Amino acid sequence: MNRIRQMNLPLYIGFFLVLGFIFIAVAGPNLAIHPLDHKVEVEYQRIDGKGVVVAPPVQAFTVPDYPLGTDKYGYDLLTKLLYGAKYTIGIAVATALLKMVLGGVIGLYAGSFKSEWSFWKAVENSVSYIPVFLILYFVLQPITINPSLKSIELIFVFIFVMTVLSLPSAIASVRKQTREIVKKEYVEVARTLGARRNRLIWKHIFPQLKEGLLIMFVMEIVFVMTVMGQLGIFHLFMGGTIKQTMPTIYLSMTNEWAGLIGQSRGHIFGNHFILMVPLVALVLATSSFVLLARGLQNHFQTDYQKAPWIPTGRTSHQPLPKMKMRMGDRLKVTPGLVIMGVFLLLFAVSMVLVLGEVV
Amino acid sequence: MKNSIIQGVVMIIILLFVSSAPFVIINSFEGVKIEYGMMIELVQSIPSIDWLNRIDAAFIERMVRTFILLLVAVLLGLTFALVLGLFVARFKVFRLFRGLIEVIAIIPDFIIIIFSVVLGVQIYQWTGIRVMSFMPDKNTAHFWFPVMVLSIAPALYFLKLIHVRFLQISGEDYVRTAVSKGLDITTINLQYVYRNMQPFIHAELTKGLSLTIGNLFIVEYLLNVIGLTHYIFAVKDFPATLLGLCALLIIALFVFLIIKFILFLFRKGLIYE
Repeated sequence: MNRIRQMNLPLYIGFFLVLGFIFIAVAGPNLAIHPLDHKVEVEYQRIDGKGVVVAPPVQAFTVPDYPLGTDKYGYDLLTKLLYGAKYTIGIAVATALLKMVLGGVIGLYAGSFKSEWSFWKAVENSVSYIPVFLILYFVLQPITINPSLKSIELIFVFIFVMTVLSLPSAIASVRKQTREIVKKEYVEVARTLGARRNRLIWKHIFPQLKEGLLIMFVMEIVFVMTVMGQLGIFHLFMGGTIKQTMPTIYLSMTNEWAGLIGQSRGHIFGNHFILMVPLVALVLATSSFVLLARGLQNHFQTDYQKAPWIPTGRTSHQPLPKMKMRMGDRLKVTPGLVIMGVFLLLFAVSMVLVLGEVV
Repeated sequence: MKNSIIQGVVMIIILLFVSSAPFVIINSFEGVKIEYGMMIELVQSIPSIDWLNRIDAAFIERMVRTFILLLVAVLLGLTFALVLGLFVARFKVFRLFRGLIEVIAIIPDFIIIIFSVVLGVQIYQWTGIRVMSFMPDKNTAHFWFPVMVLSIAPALYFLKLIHVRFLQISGEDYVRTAVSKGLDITTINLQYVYRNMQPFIHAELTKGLSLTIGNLFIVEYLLNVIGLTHYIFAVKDFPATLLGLCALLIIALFVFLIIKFILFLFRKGLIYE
């Protein structure tokens, strides 16, 4: 039991779920039972020997052909989720990656200089006080509803604006961490021995930061998804919003998950499942990345925390030594590595089977 | 001082850019155009706008409503976080409660807000008890619901930070000294742990406030609270947007100062210097 408690469960569960969502994002359209334009009209089906009239909106978990139900127009919700997954996951990963690469490089170099620009620090602080979603709303609002740009162009605009707005905070974070490491003796020794800035940064500073940057990257994915969701509440959907009048309805052009939440907002009062299905999907997606980030934190963290002298409500226990198996002369394998290897293998096999249209 | 002035100037520039963006970025059949000249025209028109005429009784009422909502929500969140993360953290029963909150903290804030609204609707459908109202004139009777929903985000944010800091400080040598002198746990938590946590709380207050303002837009929009954010989205012209955003900035500053003052009073009243 202690061994199970000691296992880094958030890492394994988070890794498995993230792989699952990446699989859905890539292979979603291949997995969908119905095409995107398939619409349920009123039909009569026999389910469990009973005759049932199937009419939109089909409730979730009632009709096997439509496992998550349909919206009020008759479009299958599972199909919409599978087609929209690539936009949700893809946009979040691309934005986070761009932000971390740019912010990391600039932050590393900025932190390696002896002097700090007080002007730039003031800019960083000012931008961090204003919610990013607010600026994005006013910039995207004129171009998102009934757009003249194509969906992919709008997505690029979002990625660009989001990256620019949240870059100062990424630079600030990396810069502060770099400045702490620059003060260390081994960096000073390297500098004294003649190491130039590039060598100092990439051979001495970056190896100390790479784990922290990986965790930051995963949390940034969650942050981008959250901002997409906030914009979705205000009918600014990724890839464009179709606004129809009489009655006024907003439809997502890409079926991206935050857009599905935004367009189903009216179902707060009835037919909750139409709102809940994309909502739970987005919650699961963000939760999986958060679990992965926590797991990575647990994995990389060296706990220098002192034992508390007062009751804190926690039971302290010494960590058990990690089990390691030796394979051959050099390779040491832990159970965790085996578990993650199995997940990766399953992922690769599933991708081949689905994309190769074997299944 | 110089940094504060630069920060103020940068924030005003951002507000001007944000307010003018819907009128500068034009979406037409020919594509998207950015009218830079329009931005300059809008900025130059600022002195000629009759600002006093726009700040009428209805606007002041909106400001007051948003101010109360923001202040009470942040205070509630901070109090909840301090109590659960520090003062009662030692009791094992609250450890389970904290564990549950850690699970809830994984969910993005806006989804928690939507879940809360759906829960409110469900409670009415099951029991007939109305916990919230979407009618603007009946808002005040159920004002506590938007306040509670808005306080969730700062509560989760501060709780996580305060509890981590509590665990760090509780291992320090001065705490060990206090324990060895026979001081009781409540005194140690207040006089030693909280006292050393104060600077950290002050440093994180602005981030917590910024996070709450982001959620304020969603709460006022979803729950139809007639506040400043409602004014910003409803009256779609440059002076209204700029006025609304500046008023929100001023409200945020007041809320920040009031909370700092309350923390100051708490320190002066209960913490030995």
